[in-house]
Amino acid sequence: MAETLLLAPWLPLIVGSLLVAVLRGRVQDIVFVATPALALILVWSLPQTAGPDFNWLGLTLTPVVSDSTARLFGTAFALAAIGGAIFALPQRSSAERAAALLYAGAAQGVIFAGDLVTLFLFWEVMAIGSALVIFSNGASRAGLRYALMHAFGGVLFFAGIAASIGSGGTAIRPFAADSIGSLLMLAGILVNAGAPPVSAWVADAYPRASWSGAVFLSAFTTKAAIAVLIRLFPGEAALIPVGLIMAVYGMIYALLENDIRRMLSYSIVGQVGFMVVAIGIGTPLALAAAGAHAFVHILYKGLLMMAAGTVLRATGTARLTALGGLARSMPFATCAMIVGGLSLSAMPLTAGFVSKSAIMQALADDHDAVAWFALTAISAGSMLYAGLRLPWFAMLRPSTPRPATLQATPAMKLAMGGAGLILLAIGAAPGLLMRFVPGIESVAVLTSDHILFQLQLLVGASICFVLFLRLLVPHAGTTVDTDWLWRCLPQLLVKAGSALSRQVLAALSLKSRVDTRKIQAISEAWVQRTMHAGNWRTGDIALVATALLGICLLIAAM
Amino acid sequence: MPIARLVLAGLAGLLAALIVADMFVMHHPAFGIDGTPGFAAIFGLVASAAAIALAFGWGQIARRRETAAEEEGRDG
Repeated sequence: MAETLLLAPWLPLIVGSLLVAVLRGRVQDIVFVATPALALILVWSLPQTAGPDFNWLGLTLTPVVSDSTARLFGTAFALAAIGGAIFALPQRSSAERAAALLYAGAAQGVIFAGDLVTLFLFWEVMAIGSALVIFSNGASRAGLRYALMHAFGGVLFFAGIAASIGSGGTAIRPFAADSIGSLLMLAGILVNAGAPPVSAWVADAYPRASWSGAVFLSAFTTKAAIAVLIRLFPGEAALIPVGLIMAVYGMIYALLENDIRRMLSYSIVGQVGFMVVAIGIGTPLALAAAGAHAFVHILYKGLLMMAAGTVLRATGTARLTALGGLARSMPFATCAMIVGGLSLSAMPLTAGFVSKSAIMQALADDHDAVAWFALTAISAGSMLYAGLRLPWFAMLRPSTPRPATLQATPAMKLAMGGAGLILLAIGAAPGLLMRFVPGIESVAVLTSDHILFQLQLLVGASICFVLFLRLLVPHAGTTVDTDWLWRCLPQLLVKAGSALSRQVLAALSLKSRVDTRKIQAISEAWVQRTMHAGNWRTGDIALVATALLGICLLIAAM
Repeated sequence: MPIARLVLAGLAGLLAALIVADMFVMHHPAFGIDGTPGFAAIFGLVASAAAIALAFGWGQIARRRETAAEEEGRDG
């Protein structure tokens, strides 16, 4: 039992996080890169058998258990952590490194959790680790907004788990969204997946990380949510419209965005939408395709974030309006951006073509014409922003380039080169991915009609790009998003409230002095009565909330 | 804009060649119409134009212009 625990892929990452926090210099570098590599070895060493069980408060906990889904996501997460760590070697922030390893370890914990309680614990540690990655770049307000959003999602998820444990124990199993408990769980997971109406947190938070931190952020949270959806809500029909909205939203906002990393963050929501649709279909092929697309997405989005980080580190900005003409001075980052962008656009001979073909095949087999045509159209739209607009305006267009003061280091090139090669290798030999994901073996990828279909789609998109280039020129600005609801609406309400109260007071002041005295007497009495009222101290709130949640858990476990 | 026209002509020629090639391959359509030679070309053009129109329209409603300094200052 203890031996299996020692094989848990999250263990070296969390221990590594603690070590990185205290170590410095070359030893820290080695631990930073070696622990994700060790995690990858453990992902493949862990036997796919029942994991060790523990009893705690009458709950059966299984801290680590492996299956094919866990191995697929565990491999992707470990590769992302290795690539991210190598890329971040020039980044000397110990805080970011420790946070990134904690984040990566918690993501592995979510994937390999054998019960709902363990899953929730790692879910929360993952939120803490990712928030710390943002805080470590000094973006305290953005980090706080991010932490609050994940606390909100975590509360929903916990409430759902607490309500569901009573009817089936702590075992991870498929749920149907037909009860309050399962609906709360689904809502909590969808918050992390970046689903509407809270999709805005992704683009609000990720660009606030450092040039290296955003690479880690792009890999774990939303894809861990996808893995959990595959386990808990396969075939949940409500996910199909949710995923389609995400895909459309991500495409439109990415087409409008000026900041490269915000554009890529919107794109994450859009591509996760593809996976959510596939999970909603729920057939074995669709679930395997969702996993395969998550695997590939982690690689190409990581590559794109690395290219964006390289540009940001070299020029001091990631705004398209301030960039251009960098292809000559930054050829490696340019190639990485093009390979990543084309893979995202599902260009034949890239990995994105393989995984998206699997999703489209699953939709076709399910006779879901609306989703099939919608996602095909969105694939063309993806080419517009990722395959064309991004590399053109950032790197290729004729422009006086900003001086690239810091060139990519060999470590950064190694990370980008490795990710790019894997994407191209999978694209040229889809069997490499199908060996990981046997569920998509039946998909015909490199057939002449399929390749021609995709090429026509993408060349059609390219023609539109050239024809309507003027409409796609980036402008400095911001696009109103759903975060308006929690960032601007409260301020507007407070302003409106104070304006209203001023008017009321002004109206009252016109009355007689007797009335004014009465009002003063009433208000003094009110003040006396409410003198001891006020906000609770944070510690008291936390104590009461913890006690309530504990009581819920105990009642559910009884 | 001679270069843009040249690129456009090249892409149009490439698309025409792909459509011609599409006439000589065996199709496995999922919904019938997608097996029509050249369907993907038209669909790609229409879908991309619709995506640009949608994004442009939404940008007119929801995009607030800022100066570069304001945009940079938003972070944090």
